[in-house]
Amino acid sequence: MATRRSARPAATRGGEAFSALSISNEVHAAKAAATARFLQPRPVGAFSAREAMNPAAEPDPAENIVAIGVGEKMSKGISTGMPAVKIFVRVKFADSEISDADRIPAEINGVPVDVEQIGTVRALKAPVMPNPRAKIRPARPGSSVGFLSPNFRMAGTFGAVAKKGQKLFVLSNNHVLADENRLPIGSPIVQPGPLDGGKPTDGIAKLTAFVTLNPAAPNKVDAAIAQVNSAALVNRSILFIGPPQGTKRATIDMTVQKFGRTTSFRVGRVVSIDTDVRVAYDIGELLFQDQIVIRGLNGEQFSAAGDSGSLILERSTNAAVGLLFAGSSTHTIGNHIADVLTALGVKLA
Amino acid sequence: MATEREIRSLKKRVSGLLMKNRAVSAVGVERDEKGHYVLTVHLVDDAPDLPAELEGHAVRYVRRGRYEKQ
Repeated sequence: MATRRSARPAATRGGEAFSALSISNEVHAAKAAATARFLQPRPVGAFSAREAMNPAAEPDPAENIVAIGVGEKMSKGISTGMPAVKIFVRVKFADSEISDADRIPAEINGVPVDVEQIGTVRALKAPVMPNPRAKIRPARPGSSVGFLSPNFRMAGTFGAVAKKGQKLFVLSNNHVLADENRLPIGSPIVQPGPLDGGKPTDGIAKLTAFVTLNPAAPNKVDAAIAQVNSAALVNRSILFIGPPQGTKRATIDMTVQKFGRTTSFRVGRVVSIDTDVRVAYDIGELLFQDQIVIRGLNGEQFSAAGDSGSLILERSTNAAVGLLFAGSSTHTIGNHIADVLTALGVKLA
Repeated sequence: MATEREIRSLKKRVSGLLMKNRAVSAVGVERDEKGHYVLTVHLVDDAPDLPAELEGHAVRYVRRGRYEKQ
């Protein structure tokens, strides 16, 4: 049998006392008894989270108790150093509002009970990621996009909506919209890309301009634009991330994010802003100068094949810093966004 | 300890030469584990004949594989 004395530690000095708290088997046994008495599973349909949010919830323990554990007895917010059965309720009612039948006992099996209000406990819902490979109208940056070819099916990422005067464009890479210099101006661009089921009837834009990829000299960007067939066909808000907030120069150690066709949402850290890198294309190995290098965070790659064209944004501000176009099994390469926009003569919408 | 500007300047001078080595996939300025700016050379494979220092600055070699369009 537990007693207050046996449960009380030698010293009670606020937080220090709690760290020295010894929870005896008697306290755990009392907690088990309280759980059996007050916290039994309820039939499906008997509980409504919406109703439980109502502050006029009843003091009936069957309705009001949401959790039971062991911990330290508090008295008017002050640590007592005394182990207790902790009973967590949606609403802590004044003693005068509780009938004798609904009153939670001050002790269970001789162990003190401490009642604490924590509100309704609900399962936390993971954010729902949009499917970038689906047909999306209006088409949004972050989604699958590509060109039609009689020989193969491909897909890359719609990076951003760009503008020049009143005209709106899909911004992505040359290799995503222009097949590495090979497509004629005016070629249709479809969303989703053909690899994701895009058909000729899924056209949203026509190839307007690209920066020529040069196998014989250093390159700065892999970029192209396609004018949209109708302004109503696109929306500037990037899937999951939202609209870009202007542009900014990347800096070493900046935390960045992107949403792409293959790996969707990822976060990374800039490790370099001026790397010269050789990248393998169908037309040969191309040298790019002064590129951004990014390493993925949270143990994940920042990108994979199909993410090319994604806009890279500073995580804290949503300012665009780069255009993703290449990578290895561990690192991602991006063009500086200012170089991309200058080369194409456009701004972000 | 070199400044970022000094290592960037070094990179401009030596990048072309280093990139001629087929085992090298990239050359840039990064921070090492101590936070110091350092010339960083990305390797596809082992490259036995690369220098440990250039113009008095240590060179950091990292194996990051081959870069491809994505």
